[in-house]
This record gives sequence, structure tokens and C-alpha cells, in this order.
Amino acid sequence: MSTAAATAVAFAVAAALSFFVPRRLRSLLIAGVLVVPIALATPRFIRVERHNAAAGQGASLYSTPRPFRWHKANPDLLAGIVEHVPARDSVSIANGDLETGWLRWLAYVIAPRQLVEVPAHWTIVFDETPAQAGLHPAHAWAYDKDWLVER
Amino acid sequence: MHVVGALLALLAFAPLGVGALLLAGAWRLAAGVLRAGIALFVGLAAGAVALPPLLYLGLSPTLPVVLLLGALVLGAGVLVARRRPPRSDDRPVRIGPLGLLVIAGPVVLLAVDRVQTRISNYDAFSIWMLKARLLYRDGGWFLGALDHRAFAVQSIAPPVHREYPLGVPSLVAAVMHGSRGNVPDAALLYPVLLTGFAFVIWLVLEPRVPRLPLLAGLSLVLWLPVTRELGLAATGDLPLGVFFVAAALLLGIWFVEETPGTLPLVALLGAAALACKRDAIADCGVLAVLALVETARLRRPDLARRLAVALVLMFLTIVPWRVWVSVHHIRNQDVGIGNGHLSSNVHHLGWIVSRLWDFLVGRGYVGVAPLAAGLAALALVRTRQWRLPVSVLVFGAALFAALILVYLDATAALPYLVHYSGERTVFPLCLFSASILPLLLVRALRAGSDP
Repeated sequence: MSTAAATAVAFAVAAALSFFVPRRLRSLLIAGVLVVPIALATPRFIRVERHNAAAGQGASLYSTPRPFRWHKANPDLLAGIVEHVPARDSVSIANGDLETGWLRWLAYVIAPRQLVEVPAHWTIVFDETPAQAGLHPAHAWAYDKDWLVER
Repeated sequence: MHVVGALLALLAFAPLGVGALLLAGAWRLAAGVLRAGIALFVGLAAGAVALPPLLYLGLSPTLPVVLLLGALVLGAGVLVARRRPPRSDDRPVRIGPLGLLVIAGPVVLLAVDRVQTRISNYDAFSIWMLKARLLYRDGGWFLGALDHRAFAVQSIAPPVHREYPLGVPSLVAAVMHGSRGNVPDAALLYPVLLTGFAFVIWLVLEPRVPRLPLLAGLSLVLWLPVTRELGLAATGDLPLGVFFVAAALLLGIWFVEETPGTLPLVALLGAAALACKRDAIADCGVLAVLALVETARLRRPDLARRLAVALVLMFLTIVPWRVWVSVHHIRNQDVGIGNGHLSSNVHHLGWIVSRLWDFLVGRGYVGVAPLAAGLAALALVRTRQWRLPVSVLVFGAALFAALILVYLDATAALPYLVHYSGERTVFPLCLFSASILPLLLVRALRAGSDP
């Protein structure tokens, strides 16, 4: 039986009992029946809530948030962008056939730096070297297979 | 330290709230801790309404701006309150230690979990908190936070739903000035809003509901899984829900008792809901239409005039937002009213109703809305006092119908849209139902004294 159905049954029983229970005790009856959905639904949810909070503690600001599993997620790259790119600058993307969620996460983590389509002073290169992307960097930082390039 | 800073930043909205209460003539509705909590809640509502237009004008959502605004409103409030004749029948509502304890338990746990939980909700990091981060990091102490580059078309990953109003991101951005940019700590805004909402429930129900049912009803609202989920998600849904339902509850007592000061608060809280999310347009539209119908039924042109002024002011607050969206050619891509899709989608009506019903009776809401409807029907049959039960039934049904209409007129793929958003869009209806449950139970089970 679902929580809502069990709650409905409890309310129906309380309504029926209210025809017999003395009026002065009906407040107690109401309080009891209002606690039923809390008792049925909340403990399980609180366990999940506490679990998520515990999982969040100590996690890197840049790591992929649960429950997402983006294939191209690269926390080190995100940390590198925040470290090297000034807050007001824009960043373009090369070879960036990215999952939408990962792109949104990238935009959130590096904000207020802007992700732009047009060439910019800073470029993120995915899955290839700056040379393969046709870039001639002044500086470049490698993060696994991805690069942050300053022209 | 970030947590302390965030809490101090939230307190910066208190002068604004005190000023708004004084201006509204609602200062004496509550006393003690209850008054302080409601002042903060009203201050946050006023901030949600006032900060976005200031943003469009070039001001930043920073603490100096919030404090200056608060000083102005507080000054005006003191001047107005001094000229207002004192009322002798004031009996402000108070809250005792037991009430505070019942509220503090779930809210403190939520606050602890909110601070420790990462921003991991897709909507939170792609819409709400991304906008807040942009507003926080751009601009100076007073000017320039709304970078049109960020909110317009240049970026390939701009905030999703740029057409949403900026009330919630503005509030979070202001609090981030206290938390030094820490987003999870700034999201303490959500537990604080929930606390303020609990205080409003207490203000409305305490004189009408015996103590035990009131405490249990408050617990139900605060422990309800979806309330907590939305508080942790850090999106616009919880602020919209609490502001809108607070407005609806206060409108209820204004109709019943014509309590001085409540109508301006209704307008302010409704405007705050409108400043949070565009879903509120349908919700506030329902509230406005039904309120006007009620004044017509009462044959009270004096009430109708006051109500009309309040509603016009409430809806006027969305004009700056609509102008800004229009000027920047930002288009709504999924839902809206008047899209002309009603006829082509009407065959989905049964499916939409059944899907929304699944959410209403799902584990998140534990069926509070159908339960409220059933109790209203029972109260109607058993007490023959029809005003409260019929009001609840009509209001709930109208909110549900408006939601279905919005879905029917959607331009986006309906299955995706309803599946993705349905549990959140029924939140105002369910929060209202959960809030009013103790009162309905008291009436339906004939507990306490008859009104």
C-alpha cells in the first residue's frame, strides 16, 4: 500500500472515530492523524537527505555532481580554468562535442567566465592537442586528454 | 564563517521587512519572535520584488543596496505608522517555545543538510544558481551586476530560461556577498524562507486551530518530502510556493475578518511569487479572479475597490521584467498562455490529469491535496458552514485547472514537459493543501469550538 493510500485510510478512520470520540479528545485525534504521513514518508527521505549531505562533504567543487555521469567530465580542467582564466574573460571551445549537462556544469563552475563560439583569448581543446586544433598557444596546460590554451 | 556571513546577509533584509510591515499597517499582527520572523520573511519578499527592477536600472544586488533600500522603506514606514491612528483592538499573535521547537527541528536539519549538500540539481546549476553567480561576480558594490553578455546571446551556455524573472537569483546573489561567493551557504535562503512561511501559517491558524493540531500540521508542512527536496534543490520552486501560499492564506483572513494590514501584504507576497517564476502568473491569476468573484458575491464594492488596487499593484510589478525580456528578444520556448496549441493538445487532457494525479498521490506529497479536498467535502456535509470548505475546493480545483490549461497550451513535447516539471508545478497547490489541513480537520471532525 502506498503512503498516500495508508494516509487516506488513517484519515478515514479518524473521521469515523470523530463521531464517537468526545469533542475534547478530537484535537488529539487530529494531531495523531496528521503525524501518520510524516511517520510513513519522512524517515526514508531523511535518510537519503543525510546520505547526500554526507556525500557532499569533502567533495571537490569541480567533481561531477551525483547522479550525473558525463563521459567527458574533467574536474582538473575546470579547476585549471578557474585558476588561470581571469573572471571577466571569455573562453571558446575547440572540438567540443559535449553532453549538454556537462556543458551546463562547465558554464556554472567557471562563471562569470563566458563560454563563447567565436575565437577568444582562451580556448578549451578536448581530446586533441592544441597543434591538432590548429592553435599556436602562448601558454597551454594539459589536463589528461584536454587542454586549456592561452593565445 | 561563510555560514555566519550568509546568515548576517539574510538579516540585512530585516529592515526592509520591518519597513514593509509598517507601511502595510501589519506591524501589530504579530508580536515577539513571530513578528521578527515575519518581518524577515516580508523583507525577503520585498527584496525579490525590488531587486530585479533595480538590476535592470543598473544597480547591483549587494548588501549596501539592500541596506539602503531597507533604510528608505523603514524611514517611510515609520513616518506612515506615526500618522496612523492607534487601534485599540490589537491582539497580536505570539508563538511560544513549543511552537518554535516544532519549527526549529525540521528547519535546522534542513539548513545543516543544505549547507553540506552540493548544488547538484540540473535546474539549480543551469538556471538559478548560475544566474546568481553571474549577478554576484559581475558589477561593483552599487552598479553593473546585470551583464547583458551573460544573459543575452553571446555565450554558448547562457543560463537556461533567461526569460524567467530574476527575483530568486537576485536574493541569492545578495546573500552570496555574505557567504563570500559560497553557493551552498548562500542557499540557506531556502530554510530561512521556509521558517518565515511556517511563521505565516502560525499567524493565520493560531487563533483558529487548537494547539495540538496546529503543531502537527506545521510539522507535516515542514517534514513533507517535497518541501525538503525543493529546499535542498535550490531552485525557484520553493520561494514561489511559500510566497504564493502565504499570500493566499493572508487573503483568506482578510476576507473573513478584514484584518487591517493583510491586503497590502497579500499584494507584496503575490508580487514576490511573480518575481520568482513565471508559473506564478497562472497561480496569481487564479487567486485574483476568485478574490474578485468573492467580493462581487459579497456585494461589497468597498472591498472590491481595495482589492482591485492591491491586485493591480501586484501585477504591475511584473512590467519591468516583461519589458526587459521583450527588449532583449528573449523568447519562452516551452510553455505560455495563448500559444494556440490548445486544440491540438486537447486529446492529451486525460493523460495530463492522470500524470499529475500520480504526482499528487506520490511519495513526495503523500496525497495532501486529495485529502484536503475530501476533508473540505466532509466539513461541508457535517457543519453546513460552507464558506471555508467551498473556498478551498474551488481554489484548489481552479489552481489544478489552470495548470492543466498551461500544459495543454505547451509548445514543448508534452510527455517530456509534464514528466520533468509536473512534480514541481503542483507544489503551490499541495503546499496550500498541507497548510490548510489542520483547519479543515478541525472543521470536518468538529474539534474545538465552532466558529
